[in-house]
Amino acid sequence: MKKEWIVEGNVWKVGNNVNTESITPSKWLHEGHDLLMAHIGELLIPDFPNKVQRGDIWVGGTNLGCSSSRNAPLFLKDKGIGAIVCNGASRIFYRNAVNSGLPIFSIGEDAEKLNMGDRVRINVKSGHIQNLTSGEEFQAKSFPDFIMAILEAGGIGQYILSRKSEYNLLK
Amino acid sequence: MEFTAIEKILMSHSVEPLESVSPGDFVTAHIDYAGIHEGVDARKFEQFNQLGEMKGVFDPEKIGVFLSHHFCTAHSDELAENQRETRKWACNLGLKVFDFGSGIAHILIIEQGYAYPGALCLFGDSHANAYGAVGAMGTQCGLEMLEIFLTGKLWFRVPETHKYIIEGNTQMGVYPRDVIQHIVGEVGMDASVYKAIEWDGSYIHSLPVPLRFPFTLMSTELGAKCCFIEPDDITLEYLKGRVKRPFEMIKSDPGANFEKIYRFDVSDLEPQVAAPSSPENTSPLSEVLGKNIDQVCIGTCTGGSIYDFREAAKILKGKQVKARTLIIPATREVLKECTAEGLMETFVDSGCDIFPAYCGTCQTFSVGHLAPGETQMHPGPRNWPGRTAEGSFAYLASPATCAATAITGKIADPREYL
Repeated sequence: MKKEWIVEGNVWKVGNNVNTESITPSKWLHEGHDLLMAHIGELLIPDFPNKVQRGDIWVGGTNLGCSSSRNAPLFLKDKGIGAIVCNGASRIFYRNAVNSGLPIFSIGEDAEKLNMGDRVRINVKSGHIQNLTSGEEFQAKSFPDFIMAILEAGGIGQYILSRKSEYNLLK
Repeated sequence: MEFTAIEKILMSHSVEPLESVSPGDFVTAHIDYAGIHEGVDARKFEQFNQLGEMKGVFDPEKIGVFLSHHFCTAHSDELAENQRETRKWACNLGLKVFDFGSGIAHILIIEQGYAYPGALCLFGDSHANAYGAVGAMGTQCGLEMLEIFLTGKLWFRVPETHKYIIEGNTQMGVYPRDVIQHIVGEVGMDASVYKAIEWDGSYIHSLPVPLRFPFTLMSTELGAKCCFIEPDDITLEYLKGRVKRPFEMIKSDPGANFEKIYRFDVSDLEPQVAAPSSPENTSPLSEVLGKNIDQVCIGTCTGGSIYDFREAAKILKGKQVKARTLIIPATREVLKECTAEGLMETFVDSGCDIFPAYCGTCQTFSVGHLAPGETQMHPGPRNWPGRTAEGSFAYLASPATCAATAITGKIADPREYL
């Protein structure tokens, strides 16, 4: 168990009802990981794939990640995103994020107060979010223990493998 | 206490015996059927490869692997290799593979009786809502499919339920695909995010089961987690010979709690389209008539049933298409019916091209790619950016509107041909 889990980075912001195909276009989905990483997010923010840095934060509006069930959160994590903050997320996107070990915070309209390029610091365990650029602070609901355990393991696959002995069907 | 049908399904499948549930509760439940399709991207596949260490799955009879959902054939070396590995891996675990030409996973699961009233079915795709058409609870499942493969169980949050009541009879030339398009445009695609939807009303219950699919599949485009249509005599007749196991009819209690109720009357509705580039961007057909369309696809999960092809054939009979037109049945069963009824001959004579059963051009993964600047029309559920080439566009409309449009190469009114 991590004692503390801090994510600090710059905000990449998108609007309401952003669909997963806009983040990870169908065109690049079956062409290998490198090409997908080279193009991820560019339909929404052309600079994103070239300028994102490890630990940056993806911020969305309402119904973030609607539409296709492709695991956009996992690919954002691969690209370096350290956490997602939104007004609200689709069910599929939310569970994909958790199961990929990427913290996701649904904080209602407060998400509007995080702007493109803001420096933001998140205490994943407590749900405390600081906008270091504006000085504003927000409190997200903390995760139930079993969700936190999946996140800390790094995703559902690792979570299962870390408890191998509980599964009769695993060698 | 009284419960919605979805609450009852979660209670009856709960691992811990439950006498009651409320929205917001967490329930760990047994799964009746689970499936994945070939859309599994490389990273997800890696995760599944960890199951190489598995001795088996919880019940091979309850899991299906669908290879003809997004692709009508393998069109690249990489895809062919990926599919070869999937077949090998599924075979080792004793899982049934629905290979190329079988058709769209969700329709197959209903057609072949894996979904039935009261069942809890999970699928690794956003349109798992489909199974509500036969009174099952269907919902999407991502990487957690690993957990289901190993244990046959998964945790759920009990959702609130929204009820959509649809009354009236549509006029000639107006179809279920128009009705659901109208509803998505009216209430918006975030109307029921994370909710269950119950579809009800005399209109819904008048429809044959395959024409209920547009409502249950496009519940996803309203944000829903799952949906439900109370099984009726039409459902029972449809399920005869398909479902090979006993099941109980299920319905919401009269006093069940619905968080919101929407009502629609479809009597005066005209054909509807979704213009580029969102399924919510709905307008009456009359407002977009005459726009240029380069390619038409008749097929997809929400427009690829035998009922859809019959209407399209009525319109295309004796005519020639101007737009490039792809005919893509939802499943092999639909392909067979179309052939038996002589519809395929009509399509070929009209200059259409016939493809094996799969998803169609709602996403151009497989065939029917568009060049930048080109526009297509299809009856599928989505026209978001990112689904086809950058700079290409899609209108969504009923299969009948698609057929009329194919003839002129411009958006046209099917009522002129009926």
